[in-house]
Amino acid sequence: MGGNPPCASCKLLRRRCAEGCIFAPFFPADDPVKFANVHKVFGASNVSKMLQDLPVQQRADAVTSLVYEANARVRDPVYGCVGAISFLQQQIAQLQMQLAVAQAEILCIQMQQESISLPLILEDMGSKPLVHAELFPFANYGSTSHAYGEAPKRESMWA
Amino acid sequence: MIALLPQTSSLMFNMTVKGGTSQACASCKYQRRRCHDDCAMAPYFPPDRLKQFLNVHRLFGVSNVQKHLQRLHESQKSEAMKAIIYQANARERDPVYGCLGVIVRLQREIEYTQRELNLVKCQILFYQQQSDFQARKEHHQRQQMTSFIGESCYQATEYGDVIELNSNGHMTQEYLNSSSFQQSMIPCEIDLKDFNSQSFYQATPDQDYEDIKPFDQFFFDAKDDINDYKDAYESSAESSFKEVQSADHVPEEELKSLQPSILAK
Repeated sequence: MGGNPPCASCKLLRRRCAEGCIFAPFFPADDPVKFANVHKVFGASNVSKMLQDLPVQQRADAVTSLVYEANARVRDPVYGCVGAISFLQQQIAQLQMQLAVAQAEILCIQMQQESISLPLILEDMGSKPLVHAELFPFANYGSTSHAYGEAPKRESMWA
Repeated sequence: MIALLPQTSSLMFNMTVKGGTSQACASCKYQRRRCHDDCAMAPYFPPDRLKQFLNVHRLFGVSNVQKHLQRLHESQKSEAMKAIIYQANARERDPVYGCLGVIVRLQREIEYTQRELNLVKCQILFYQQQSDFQARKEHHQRQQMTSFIGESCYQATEYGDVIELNSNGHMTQEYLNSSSFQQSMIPCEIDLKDFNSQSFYQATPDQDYEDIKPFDQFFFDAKDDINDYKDAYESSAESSFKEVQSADHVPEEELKSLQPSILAK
């Protein structure tokens, strides 16, 4: 009466574990809880039908996902794994909001820098140095005749 | 005898199954059984939701869903059914991974968004550090060439003298009265090497001070300053002053001699 020891599913279902048992590769006898949860949530017949509809190479992944969903449903009878999905979607929404705020801040900084660099660009082009004239009214610039006519202003020196 | 028109026959079928005018739920329709008023599936699977019911039936099975609902409180049943329907639809879309595939995709999206957020925050930090550095540089440069508010600072001229400036950037009264200023008699020269090697004053000892208009404005801020200036430039100023004085006091007799016809009466 030799033979392979029954897999966890056949043990739970109390049936002979056949040679080509569809559950045997995925539910070894040393982990009975794994199949128990899957059977409780989905039912052995439903899982069997689903695995039969899939190619052999994809069955392992399918069993993994079913085990995950079953365990989630046992932990949270109301929402199951959908609770985790909802949580992750909220996280994404928050991150996207933070990202939008940060990108807007970058735009503001870039616009500020462009407005500051504009007078310096004009200076390079040969027009009067607006920044220096405001800061230093005593400057002896040949081109800035207006500086001579102005009285020293306290505010402009500290502009 | 009721006429057996196609519409009527279907209506008759529905009436037969439900026992009223309303249609059977998708669950009872699929199972071809009578849909009672207290049908547990009726609230969640109206007649137009057949596909959803089929997904749930394929994944969970009707009996499993009913057993599961029985274990829950009445207030939780609606939410639980929504989650079950969502899970079943996800499995129908992706027969291999189902909801797990959705979770993995969401986790990847979170990682990607977080990385993007970190990048943008690094950029903001970089810009802030840049502007802080620029502000500190300008502040340091201002410190070197002018005084602080309410304090005096000492600025060295290129001739080696140290002049004292007040908060307005003008020479203090003490300095104007000092012997070092009297002896130097040079304009305040502020060498701004930090500002593109340009200095405020290009004045040299040989230059005529009257041409330096900013220098005049720089000194003659108060009436006392004028007197000090007079003392400092005694030789030339005094003589011109005397000439003005003499011109103002021409004797009346001399005026009369010039225009006797006008003055004599």
